[in-house]
Amino acid sequence: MEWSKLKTIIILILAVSNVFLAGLLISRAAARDASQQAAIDRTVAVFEKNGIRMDSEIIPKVLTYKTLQLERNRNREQEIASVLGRSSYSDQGGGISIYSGENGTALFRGNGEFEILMNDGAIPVDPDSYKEYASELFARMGFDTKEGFSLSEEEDGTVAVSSGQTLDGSPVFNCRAIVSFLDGQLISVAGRRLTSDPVSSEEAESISVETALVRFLNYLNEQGDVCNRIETITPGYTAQATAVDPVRLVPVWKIVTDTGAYYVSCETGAVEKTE
Amino acid sequence: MGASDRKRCVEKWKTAAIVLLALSSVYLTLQVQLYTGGNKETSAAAWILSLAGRIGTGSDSGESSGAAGTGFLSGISAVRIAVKNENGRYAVQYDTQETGELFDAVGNLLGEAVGSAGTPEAVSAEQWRSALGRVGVYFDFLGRIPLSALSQWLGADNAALEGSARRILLALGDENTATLYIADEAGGGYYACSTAVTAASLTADLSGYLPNGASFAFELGEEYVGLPPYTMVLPDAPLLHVLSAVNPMSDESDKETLLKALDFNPHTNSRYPEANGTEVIIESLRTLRIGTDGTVQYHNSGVGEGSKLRITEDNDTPTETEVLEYVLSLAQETVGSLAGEGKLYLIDLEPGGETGSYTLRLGYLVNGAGVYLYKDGYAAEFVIRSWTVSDATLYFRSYTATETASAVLPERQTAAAVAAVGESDLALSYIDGGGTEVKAGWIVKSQS
Repeated sequence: MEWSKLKTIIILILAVSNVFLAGLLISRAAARDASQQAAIDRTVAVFEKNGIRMDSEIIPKVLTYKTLQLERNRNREQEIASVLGRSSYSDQGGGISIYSGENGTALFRGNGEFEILMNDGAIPVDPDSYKEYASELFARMGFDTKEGFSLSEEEDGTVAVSSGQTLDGSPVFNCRAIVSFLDGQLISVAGRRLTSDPVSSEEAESISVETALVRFLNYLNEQGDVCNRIETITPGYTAQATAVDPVRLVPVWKIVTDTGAYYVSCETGAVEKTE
Repeated sequence: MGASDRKRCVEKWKTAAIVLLALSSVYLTLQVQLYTGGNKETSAAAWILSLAGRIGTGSDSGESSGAAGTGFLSGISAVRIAVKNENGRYAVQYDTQETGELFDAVGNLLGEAVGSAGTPEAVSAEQWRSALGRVGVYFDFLGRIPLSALSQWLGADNAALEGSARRILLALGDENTATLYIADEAGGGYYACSTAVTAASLTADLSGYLPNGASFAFELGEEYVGLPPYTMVLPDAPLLHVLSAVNPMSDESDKETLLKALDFNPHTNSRYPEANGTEVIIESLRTLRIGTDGTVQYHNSGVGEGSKLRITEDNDTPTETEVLEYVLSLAQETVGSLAGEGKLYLIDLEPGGETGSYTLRLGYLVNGAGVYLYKDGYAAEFVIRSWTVSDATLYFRSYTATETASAVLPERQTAAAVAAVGESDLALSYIDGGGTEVKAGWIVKSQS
């Protein structure tokens, strides 16, 4: 009996402390959000002073990012190269692989870049189905047709269908592929892709929103780049490969202005103009 | 259900409620701690949650995993890199951060080229200079790097590449691929190798750089003929800051670190001071002399199987790369660890006359400029006999850059002055004679 009453008292105490802690958490979170909003408002004001308009709504609120490490998945490359039909594989060294098949050749680099060149007439494709064919190919290669999917026609009649790649819904800005057609046949597939699913991640102490945007503003001033408006800020990744490290996905913001686009590293605040 | 059954059920629910509420309290407490704005890195909350995160993602201790050679490669990265594209040439030198960033950006190409390089064929100096004028990327490592080691550290391990090189160039060739050029003037000339790097890849990877007016001295007019041909000349004179230098071996703990690195017992009593203040430590057949000016000399008169500082523990024959890695690690643990803003770079690795014999020299590098130290220029020399470090001379110096710029003569004036001396080997270096202030200047070694 006494033990039962004791349990009830313990439950009441725990319930009260939970309510208290929950209230404390909500108030701290609200304070942090308010502080974050104040920082954003200050930053927007600084940009206005420098003649650049920016809507505070476009500024991402996410502060925690991860750098992701990829390893090369050669099985996936082989699957992609299967468009060549039966093919032979050759390791050229230095991370360069070549597949030679009855339909053409495919080259894969360690940093994710690839190029597949088809032989003349190897893969006929109905011109009315270019988009569908490309979409299927993108899906096989792991590209997300919701990300930057576009179709364009060159002066020489080449039709290029391009798509970007995402990871867990976040765009990987420098991973894109282009499927090219000409006169009713597939002529090439080229671009840069993620070499594998992430194999490890490193939680990064990212810079603050205010710091990232101020660094961006300083970059514009130092480079003499002119812009009047920041149109979008999109969090995502860029794939980077160095001399010795496997491919890393580095968290960045892509800032699109009315005159150009830039990447701002969430780790260091370093700014780079996109091509 | 009887009354006692109901009571038992209620008690079970109460127990479950206690457990859930207790866990919830712990979770909410940790979350509140994270919002408190304390030190996220040291709070117990952050530690517990990061541990949970690591368990969830399977990630390691948080250090990035790279190829095994990453550490060694970062110790010998290029001091001068030039990118040539259709717009012109962009080069960086005398700036560790910028050269490091550029090496990160274009080093992938070097790895591909070294990994896929075919057998080197000798080419003339004219062919080498002609290649420098084509679209490509050029690396100057200042010292002579064994190509077998470079190949392994780039994750390539290409047995076709032997010998050493100070300068490496990847440039467009005659076909649709790029050609790797290797220059080792000290060792024997210039070589070219075919690679699997496509011309399209090379051109595309180098296209984003804007030229900054960089030229090699041989590309400029008569005014520069006195300079060594591959001196990189930029529109602005090089900016190198005056360094302050000290002997970092002033502390007993530094000496203890040195003793441990050289596999001496740090608490040995077999030590005595000489009249000039040099401390002598003896252990079996090994002697260590620590001078008051930071000069350390090591000697082992009993090299061979079972010796201390032996590169191989078993009967396997170490490769040249393994010898180099062993010495680089030892150098980093000794002179490298106390160099302040100085880094180490490999000057040379020379095989000796007998199997298992080598001499390696390393120098100090501060912000991309070598330090010419005392009479011989190097910071450390290691002699290997029978796969064992038999002798080592270490000059401990610690460098810090001041705000004052070194007054360095621009290249054109230097060329004019050098032309009067005759053909020479010229380099912009810091010159350290052992004082507390170290300035940069042009070192001329006359060959006439």
